[in-house]
Amino acid sequence: MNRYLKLLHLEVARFWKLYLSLFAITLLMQGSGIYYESGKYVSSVQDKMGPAIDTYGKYAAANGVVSFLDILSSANLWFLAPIALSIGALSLYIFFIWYREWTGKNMFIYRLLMLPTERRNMYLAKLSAILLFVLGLVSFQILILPLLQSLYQSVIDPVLRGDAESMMTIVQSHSLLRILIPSNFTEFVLWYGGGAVFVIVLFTAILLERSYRLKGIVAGLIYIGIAILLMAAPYLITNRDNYDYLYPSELFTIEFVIAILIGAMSLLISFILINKKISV
Amino acid sequence: MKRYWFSILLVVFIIGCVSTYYVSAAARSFPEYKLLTVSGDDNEAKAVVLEADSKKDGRLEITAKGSLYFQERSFFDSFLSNEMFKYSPELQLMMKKHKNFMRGKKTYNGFYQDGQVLAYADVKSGNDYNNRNYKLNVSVLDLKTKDKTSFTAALPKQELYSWVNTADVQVKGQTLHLITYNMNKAVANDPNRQAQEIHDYTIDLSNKSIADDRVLFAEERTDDGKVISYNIIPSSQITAPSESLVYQQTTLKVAKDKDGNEFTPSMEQVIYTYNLETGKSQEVPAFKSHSSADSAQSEAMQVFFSGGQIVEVRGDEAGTTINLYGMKDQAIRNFTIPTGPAANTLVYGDRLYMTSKDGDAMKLYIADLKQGKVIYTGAIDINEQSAKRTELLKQLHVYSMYLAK
Repeated sequence: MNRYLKLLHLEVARFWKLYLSLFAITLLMQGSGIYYESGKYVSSVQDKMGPAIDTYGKYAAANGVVSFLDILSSANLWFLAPIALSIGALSLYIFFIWYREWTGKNMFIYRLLMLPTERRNMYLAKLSAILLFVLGLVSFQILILPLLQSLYQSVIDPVLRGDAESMMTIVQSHSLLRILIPSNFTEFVLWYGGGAVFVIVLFTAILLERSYRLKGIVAGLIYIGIAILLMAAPYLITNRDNYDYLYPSELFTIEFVIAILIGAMSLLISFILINKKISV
Repeated sequence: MKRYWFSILLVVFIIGCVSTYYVSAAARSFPEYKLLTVSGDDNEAKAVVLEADSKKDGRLEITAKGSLYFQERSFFDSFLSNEMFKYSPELQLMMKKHKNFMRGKKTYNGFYQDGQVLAYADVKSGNDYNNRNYKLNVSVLDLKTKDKTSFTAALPKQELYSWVNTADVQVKGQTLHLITYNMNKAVANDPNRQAQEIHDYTIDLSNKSIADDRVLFAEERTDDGKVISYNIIPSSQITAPSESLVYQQTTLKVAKDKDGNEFTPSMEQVIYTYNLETGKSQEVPAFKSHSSADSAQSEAMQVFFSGGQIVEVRGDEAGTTINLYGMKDQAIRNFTIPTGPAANTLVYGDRLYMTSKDGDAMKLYIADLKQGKVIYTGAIDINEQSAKRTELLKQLHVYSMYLAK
């Protein structure tokens, strides 16, 4: 346990500079997007005001009020770009977290494999690190949303604003946020649990490649293909022309069991590979 | 320990943010709308679920117990199997009893049940317009012997139709009647060809084949500019056996104004019953209605068929009249509900459910069709005071209702 935690910390420590810059980029881009679009809205209101409409109150009465969600959707590019960047960076890092050990003159993998501990600790540390990085970014988004909302409130006059929406309403009304942050905790666990299984499958493919090189790439791709096929099998078999034979609860249970089996199977294969087959 | 502060902080940070978010999401409270009894027996409204939309908090369902917002629903709520036949209490019941038989069967109108058999028939089709590949699927479960028979058969003359929908299923001994709407494919220069037909496919259950395909009614355009169309009025208890079908014949007079645009100066609607065995139609004279463009008729009219009675609901702000026609005794009765117009009307068994706006509040009336009178009145209310109450009631839009047995 202790070894695993130390290895996990090692993984976090190796990534933290890049990781914090993802936080910084997200905060800066989303913040400036909201600030810019809020300012733009206020000046467009001022442009439209004339002798007939000389106060914000009259403008709001005639044209309606603006909400944080309106500003959020006009700042959509500012808002989505850092999220896309983070998703891209972490997707690449799923591979790089392994391949970086084989780079350089004195390959780090020599030392890792020589450690006087079970090798699966190294695997689990890498897996947990990826999951921590993903959840950390999601948490950061949860944290800065209220900040972005106060920024919008500080720029736009209260008279021009509607009622403040709750965080949940904002998340649920946004097309991407509601995927990243599901509406209840059960869904959150299932969703990111599914993500973890996906990462485990990718790790297995990577380890296959590291163990058998060129042949391993083919094996890895086939392995990913089989995993996807297994997940899709209940649909392919029973859902012909939208006349599904299984009830939704049954379909969910089957998918759940398949996902757990794929995860367990992949972990087992990975542990065998890392113990017996991996080459430097 | 000091060396590890960043990793520890990251874990604490994640747990803090995620738990704060989901705890505050679970702790949210929404305005609690409720259906309160104004007069009558509480039990009458027990099964009623009003589907509504609140401007601020989205969709919700209101019952006598309170309200459930879609935002509050747990993940597994959406998997409840009774969601599947939400709008039919009898199919929900059938679902509990015959879960396996109901697999992959989704068309409400395709079910039939009597003391001996449970039957389902439906027409399935592919997506290719030129080759729909219509297949008739029939399943019959003998309730005594528990024997299940299923078969499929290709639909005759299927190249003619652009779509086929199931309207009703009736079983008599070894004969199954499948009533469908068939839409003819368009044929250039022949406006009569693109018309809707109502078919009666007679299926021989012992032979597992289609014995007969009859066109009961077909939409037609006459030379003097009339369009006569038909539609079946399904029984409120979809699965119930019935010797006759009830249908409505609508005659539209179509004319062209000086710009060449079509308009309808008059419309006539007649209700008929059609005996499946004898093939004879009989007019229900009391329910004939005629409206024309000049005599601006503002009355809204709806027709239901339930438990051997045809129920016509018509009304405006002044009041709602319920006309009843007994198909056995051919007697006509009526009664009124002194409010209107009806926002939503629902008939099930011998009960009629009607919602109507009364000021800011939405009221629910339940009438007993046997006794011919209102036996329950209720209103949607909320546990708030004065201005806030008015505001919340105003924000609520009830768009539908159903019964959950």
